[in-house]
Amino acid sequence: MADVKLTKVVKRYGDVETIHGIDLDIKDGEFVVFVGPSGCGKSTLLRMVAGLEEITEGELHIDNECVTSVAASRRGVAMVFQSYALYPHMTVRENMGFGLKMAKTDKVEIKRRVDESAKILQLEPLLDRKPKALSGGQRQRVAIGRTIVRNPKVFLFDEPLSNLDAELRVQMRVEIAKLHSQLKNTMIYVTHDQVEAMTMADKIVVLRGGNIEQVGSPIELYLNPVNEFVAGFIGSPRMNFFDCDVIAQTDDSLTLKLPCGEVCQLAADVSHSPGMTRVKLGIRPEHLKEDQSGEIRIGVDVDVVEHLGGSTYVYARYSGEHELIIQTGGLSPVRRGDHCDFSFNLDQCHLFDCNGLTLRAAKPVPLHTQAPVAQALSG
Amino acid sequence: MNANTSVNSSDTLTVSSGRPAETRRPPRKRYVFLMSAPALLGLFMFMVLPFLMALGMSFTDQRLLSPNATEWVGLRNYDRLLNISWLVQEPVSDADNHLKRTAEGELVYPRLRSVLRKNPEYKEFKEFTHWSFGDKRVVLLAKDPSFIQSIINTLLFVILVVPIQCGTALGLALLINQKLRGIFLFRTVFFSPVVTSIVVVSIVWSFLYHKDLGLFNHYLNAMSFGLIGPVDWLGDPDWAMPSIVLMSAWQAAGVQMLIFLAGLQGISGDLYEAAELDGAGPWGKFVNVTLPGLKNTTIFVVISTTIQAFGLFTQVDVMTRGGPQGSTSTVMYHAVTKGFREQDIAYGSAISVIFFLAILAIALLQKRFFDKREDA
Ligand SMILES: Nc1ncnc2c1ncn2[C@@H]1O[C@H](COP(=O)(O)OP(=O)(O)O)[C@@H](O)[C@H]1O
Ligand SMILES: [Mg+2]
Repeated sequence: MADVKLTKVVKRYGDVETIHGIDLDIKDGEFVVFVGPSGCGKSTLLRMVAGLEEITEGELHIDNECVTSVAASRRGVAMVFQSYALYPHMTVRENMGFGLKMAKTDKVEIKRRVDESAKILQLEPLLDRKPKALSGGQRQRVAIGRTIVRNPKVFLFDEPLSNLDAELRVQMRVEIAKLHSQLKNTMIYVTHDQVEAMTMADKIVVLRGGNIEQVGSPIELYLNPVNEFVAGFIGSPRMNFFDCDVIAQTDDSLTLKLPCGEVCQLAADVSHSPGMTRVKLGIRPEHLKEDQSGEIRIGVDVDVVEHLGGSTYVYARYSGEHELIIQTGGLSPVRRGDHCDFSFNLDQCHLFDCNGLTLRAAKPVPLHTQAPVAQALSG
Repeated sequence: MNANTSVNSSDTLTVSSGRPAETRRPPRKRYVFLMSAPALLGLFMFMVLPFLMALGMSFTDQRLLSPNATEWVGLRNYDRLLNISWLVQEPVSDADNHLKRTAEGELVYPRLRSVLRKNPEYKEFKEFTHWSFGDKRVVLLAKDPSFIQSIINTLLFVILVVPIQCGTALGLALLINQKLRGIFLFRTVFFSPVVTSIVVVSIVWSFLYHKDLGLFNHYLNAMSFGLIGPVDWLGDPDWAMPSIVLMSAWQAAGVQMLIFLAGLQGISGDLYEAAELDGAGPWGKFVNVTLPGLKNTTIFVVISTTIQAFGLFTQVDVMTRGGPQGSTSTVMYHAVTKGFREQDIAYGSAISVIFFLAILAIALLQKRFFDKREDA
């Protein structure tokens, strides 16, 4: 059982605090993804788990054992670096067996375990090559193979795919996911790419500025973001936001005036935040419809149309200055420069207060019409 | 090359552009020549030409100041430099076939000088050294024994100074690669001997090495509670060369230190972290990350240090003048002594030519050795 538990973990460089007391429970066998914009502290957090970065305050437990000040090599973790960090003068076989060699493992055993992992990753033909004779994807595979050989309690990945081209990235993404279902070890994966997070994670940890914004399964984060930041970060293309004036407010509903002037009433539990004047309305691109079947209609000026084949992204301006992205079906007739109407349903709107906290999330769409969700996840 | 079958890139350029290429820019070759001309001129005037002159002179009997006309002498200078011979001597016995012995009980051999003079085959030869085999004595002869001695001294210097200097440089580089406050101060301090004139350094170290007044003997004496008596560092034939080695390594290591430092900073930090996770300790990281990462740097440093070491001259000239008993005379020192101080410039030239060829050969061999290791 390799649970990972962070308790009030703080990181300071001198006087600068970059991680502000993080509590996190990772269950055995979970695939957890740390996601967030660049500089939010994902790598720092991961490296503290790895033991490469000292934990300034707080505690780290792996497998119910306090390892806060245990050396990296004794924590039972293995890490895949963004740069792969393969030893350039060693062959693939030596690279993969190095950890075991340092642990003074028997030579026959090393060979057996290297061969075994090489088989899992189809590295057998490459075992006698040096890293410089490998392609990017192959190096990546070796870097992963090196961690498998050591059979760690926890696998750590720091943006392992960001040096690969788009196609290879998708391929490796699938392979890592497969690997996880095969090995069933606990894995922590850092990325700034929310698509990677959505597709691979059992549990996503959204970080911002050294704090956890939200923890949850991909679908939970998609459906119930706790604030504007998570709502904007999860989902692709990102959610559209616009400011609305509050015209009237009761305990369980708000009457809003949309930027285009239209007035509508939304159900929301706002009993704890009385007297609001402005709120933010969020609507995902895939919930804007090209037809007029929605409850609210808005007229937009189309700037750019991207035809992706299976779907179409429309970049438009709504009521003058509000930028808007709309995702519609594959063969949309919308053209650049068009002025056209889109519509949406009120129960698919998110509402955020002036601090960005969620007042109300969209109602889950019934299962049989959940196609847009699945599409967004595979995006 | 056949112009019909090969499409050369500059041809294509000329064809595709409307105007002839020459009017827009001079051909690349001309530029290359123009740009490198000053350097090439300097190289030619101060390296190639003197070398060719030395080569020519080494076949003559030219002297610096001489009333006699210069004549070609063929390989005489080289013969004088490199010709080695030996002879075996039987001990002298008296009338009853008893071996004669000196008062100390040592065997007596015929006087070498008269033996050499008697035999025209040994004309110009002098004793270099001798060994005893049983009762017999083998005498190694050379036409210029002090040149042979200089070669041996130079090799000894190189063999000692290269590992010490490179090792010191690497050690210092590792030390100053730490991220500590004020580390730049140490970098400056460690580098400062390099920018100090070697003559000044040699004079200062002559004081340090002084038998009676020198700091080293004082410390040695104090630290050993008077057990280790004063060592005549520069006056004892056994200590003179090691003393010069130590001082030379200290003086020059700063350069190699900087090169190693650059090499160290080129090694990815991720590799150290990967090694840390793999359970490698400081030694494991040094052996498996640092050393392999410094391989090319090391090749360069070792080759350049070796070549530099072969040229040992100034320290010897200032500190020991080749002594005591020729124990610190080097090839370079010998060349200068013969060529300028004894004014036999032709002979000095011959030494330089030999020296050049030897260094070339050693540099090529070293490169070959390291290249092979890379493939392995
Ligand atoms: N060695 C360091 N010294 C000071 N600040 C650092 C150091 N390493 C990282 N930081 C800061 O910590 C924050 C988080 O960095 P990091 O974890 O690398 O972000 P990312 O989420 O992009 O991986 C950044 O603001 C960065 O500037
Ligand atoms: Mg990072």
